[in-house]
Amino acid sequence: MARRPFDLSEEIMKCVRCGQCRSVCPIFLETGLERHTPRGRIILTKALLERTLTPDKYLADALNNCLLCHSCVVECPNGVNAPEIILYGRAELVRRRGLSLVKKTIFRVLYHPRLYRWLGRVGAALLPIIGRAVTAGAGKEQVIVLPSAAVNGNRVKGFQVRWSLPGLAKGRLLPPVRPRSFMADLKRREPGLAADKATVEKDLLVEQAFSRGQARTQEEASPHEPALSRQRTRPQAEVLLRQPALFRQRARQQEEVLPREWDQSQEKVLPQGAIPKARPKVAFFVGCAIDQAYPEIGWATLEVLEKNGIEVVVPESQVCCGIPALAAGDLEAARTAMVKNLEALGKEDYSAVITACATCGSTLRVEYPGVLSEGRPELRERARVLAERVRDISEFLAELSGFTRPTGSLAARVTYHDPCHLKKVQGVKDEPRALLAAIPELQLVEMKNADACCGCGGSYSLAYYHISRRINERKWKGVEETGAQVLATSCPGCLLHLRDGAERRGSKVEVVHVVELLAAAYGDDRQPDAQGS
Amino acid sequence: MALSREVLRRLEILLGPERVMTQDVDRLVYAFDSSFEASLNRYEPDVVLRPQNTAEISAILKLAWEYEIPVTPRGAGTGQNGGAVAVRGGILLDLSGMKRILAYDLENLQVLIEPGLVHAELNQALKPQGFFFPPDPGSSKMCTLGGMVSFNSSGMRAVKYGTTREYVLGLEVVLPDGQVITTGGLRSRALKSASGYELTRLFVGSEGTLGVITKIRLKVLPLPEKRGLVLAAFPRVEDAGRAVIAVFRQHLTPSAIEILDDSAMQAAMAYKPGLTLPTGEALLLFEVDGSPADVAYQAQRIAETCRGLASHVDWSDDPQRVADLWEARSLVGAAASRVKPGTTRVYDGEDICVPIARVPEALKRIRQIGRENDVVIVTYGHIGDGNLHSAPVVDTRKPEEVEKAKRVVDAIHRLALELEGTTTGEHGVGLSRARYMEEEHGPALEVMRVIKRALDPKGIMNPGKMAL
Repeated sequence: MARRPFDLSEEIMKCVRCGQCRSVCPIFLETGLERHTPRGRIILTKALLERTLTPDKYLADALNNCLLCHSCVVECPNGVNAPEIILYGRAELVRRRGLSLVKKTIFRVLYHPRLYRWLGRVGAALLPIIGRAVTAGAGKEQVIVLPSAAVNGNRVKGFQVRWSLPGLAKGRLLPPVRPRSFMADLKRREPGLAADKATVEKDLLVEQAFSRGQARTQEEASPHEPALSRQRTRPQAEVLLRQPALFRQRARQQEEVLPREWDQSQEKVLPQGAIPKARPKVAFFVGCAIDQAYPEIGWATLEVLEKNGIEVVVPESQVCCGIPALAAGDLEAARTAMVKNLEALGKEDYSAVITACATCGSTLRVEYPGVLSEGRPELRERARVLAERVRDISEFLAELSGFTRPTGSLAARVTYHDPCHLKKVQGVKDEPRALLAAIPELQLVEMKNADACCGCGGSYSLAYYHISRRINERKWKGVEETGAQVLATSCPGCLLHLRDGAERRGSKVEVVHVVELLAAAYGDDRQPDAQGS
Repeated sequence: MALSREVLRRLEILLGPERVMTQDVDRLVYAFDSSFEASLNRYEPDVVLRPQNTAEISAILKLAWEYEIPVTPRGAGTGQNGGAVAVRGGILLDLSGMKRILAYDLENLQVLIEPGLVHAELNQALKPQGFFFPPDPGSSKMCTLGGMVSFNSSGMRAVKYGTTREYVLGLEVVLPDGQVITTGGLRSRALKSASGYELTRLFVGSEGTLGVITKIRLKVLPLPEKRGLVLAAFPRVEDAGRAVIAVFRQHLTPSAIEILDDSAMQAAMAYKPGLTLPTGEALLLFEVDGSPADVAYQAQRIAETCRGLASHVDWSDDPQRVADLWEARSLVGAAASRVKPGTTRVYDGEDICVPIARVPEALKRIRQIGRENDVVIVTYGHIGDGNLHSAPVVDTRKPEEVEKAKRVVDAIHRLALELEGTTTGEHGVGLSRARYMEEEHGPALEVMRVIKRALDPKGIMNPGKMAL
């Protein structure tokens, strides 16, 4: 992880231009151009900051054409944080060239609670127009069907973009329309979970509150009901096995399929024991991808936490984590988002802040202390405290003393994709695998390029879709070599892009979030119907 | 010099606009390699080209010849002496896209490859077939074979396996006027030849000043069955040198002998926190390879030999431990700045090579140079052939530190010559060592110039290098 505080000139100096990053940068591996190497981008950022290079569109392109995947950080003998240097470069570019009106608007909207919801609804309404619904059909090929939007009783996989639009390539698979965002749905079904009802409408108020040293504004914390007594109104996970042969077959011994490290350390990672008497109370940071596109991941996360006796709160005034703005160089908008989230997540002394999105997690943990280290001391401190509490859902479960093992079985061959922001930035790699391995009858196989970038890079895939796709193709080759039926991962961004890849390849591999599988395995206390339905 | 529109137009017709780069952004990033020299300047080319085959390169050189445009060939730009930067502008040929393995001829212990092929990728391709290309530079993951041939690179295993030169059986070269020749015989796949002037050896190590290498016929060897490692820590650095000589006197042939001084050990452990190394002023790593019996025998004999001089001796043939130690060693150079926060490593004076018997003295003198100039120098290297890599670390943001670095590297180069050695064992001359050519070679330098003028009378191939 990046060291804080960040001395930009020292970090740039540390790059000795050895070129080792060339061996891992996914973009360089596609294009072979020196300006697409981390070392090249560092040289360009340095020249930009020293004003020896004009900030023109070519420079902007060179700095924007980076996934921020951190593959280079892991490989660099000096651990130079090239992505961070590049973010500085992008911020400088925005300072000098400004930001496009479209982007400026989007970021202002993203961090405004009401306008954000409105944007979500507009997007959802437009989706069936700009995209053609792709359904899963009678689903004879599916191994696992997890809750998602249904159209005409068929599972809608997503919407395939009909025409080339700015930022959206033709044929790209976008996530399905949701009747309601996760947060909106949550408020309706389980109002007790959504905390801090009164929301702060104006940005100014939040800033003023901080500058007066006040921790909160005029809201009250909403009452919390104990997790287990809550009325269950959320959709149940469905687990349907379409292939009886799989079901009848006993899973192979775990020792055969798991790499040694998990097999032996599984017990350490998921220790058996009593659920602690004092139930930890955690906040769930949803993130816009889960909120708008994959609410089922949100529901699955809540379910999994509850099965483990954890009290969850979903702070209502949370906003997008800020990475889209930060990645675009809009430091101001990013800071606004960060301050709002500090406020939303700082209302109570949560023992952890759970994320199910690798990118949100890495942003909260690494960028918040970083960006806010240049500013007011109290923000810096709050960001540091927040960062220490952030846990990916799999990390959190692994740290629990007394993890509840699922009893429902999932007889499927599953492989796992390491999201860059989870493994390379946060160092979390064993925990998601341990969770998968804890599911009875699940056969976990490792692909050769498990931690290779999937090519999404969030907004990267909008601007550089063609490169994004090529990187994704390499990933899929690795997936298919394992013969897996299910591809599990821990990031909705990766999920989106991998599903797009699956659709392009006509692959029958089901792409899911780890927590969805776990929730399905918890939800099923009986053996699944061998015939399916 | 700016290139005329006519020239650019002809280049675009030849390669297509995608592979002809004139934007400031591209020209800047190609102005650097890993060298200190390049970093002190900004040697931008006027255009960067990415040819894909010999015919394109021949056409480019014909054009360059006609208009007298300088041409600088470049692989991955991981060289440490400025050899791959366009000191006089002109055309920069980025050959890293020409990276195919054209033919495997393993029965005859050879392969035919393109120059942009990355060293590690070559060995990855050979490994499943039970072969390897022995010279192994620390930059294996990123350097190209074309670069290795142009600079006669080697690495840790040179002490047993020799340098790149010993493995080049033949080359296809495009001469400065665009003519294409094959050295080592037009159609020969023989492993040796006594026919004609050894032109292959002329081009190996010629640093791109005599032509552009477009194909390489490379000798490869069967992979050894097993590898083992002996680790010995020495309280005094001079004892490490004596130990190496003692090992050779035993008629033992380690496949690598590496030295790390204590600052290098610190850097290695900072890079790989799980690594445990014994304490001392110097650490030697002896690698042995061969059959399991060979490995055990050699390793034990080496260990015995070291015991008298060393404070700690250990050996292992556990592949994981062996791999871990090598990984740390091969990256110690770039990781050197970790020993002193707020500094960075500069690549200069980084490759002196002295007689084995004078290595202990060289190590002492380098430390002295560091003390005298108040610069931390991390030293490690291929002590088995007297090749020492010194890594001075300074804060390059401060001009006075840069000046100190320049003084230190100059002193190290002069030391090499004083100790009857060479200013560069395996990295090449380029820009960094050009100023020592006269002293190092005397009248032979003029003969080099004669050859250069004969093949490149217009002086377009990588001008401004090697004091030619």
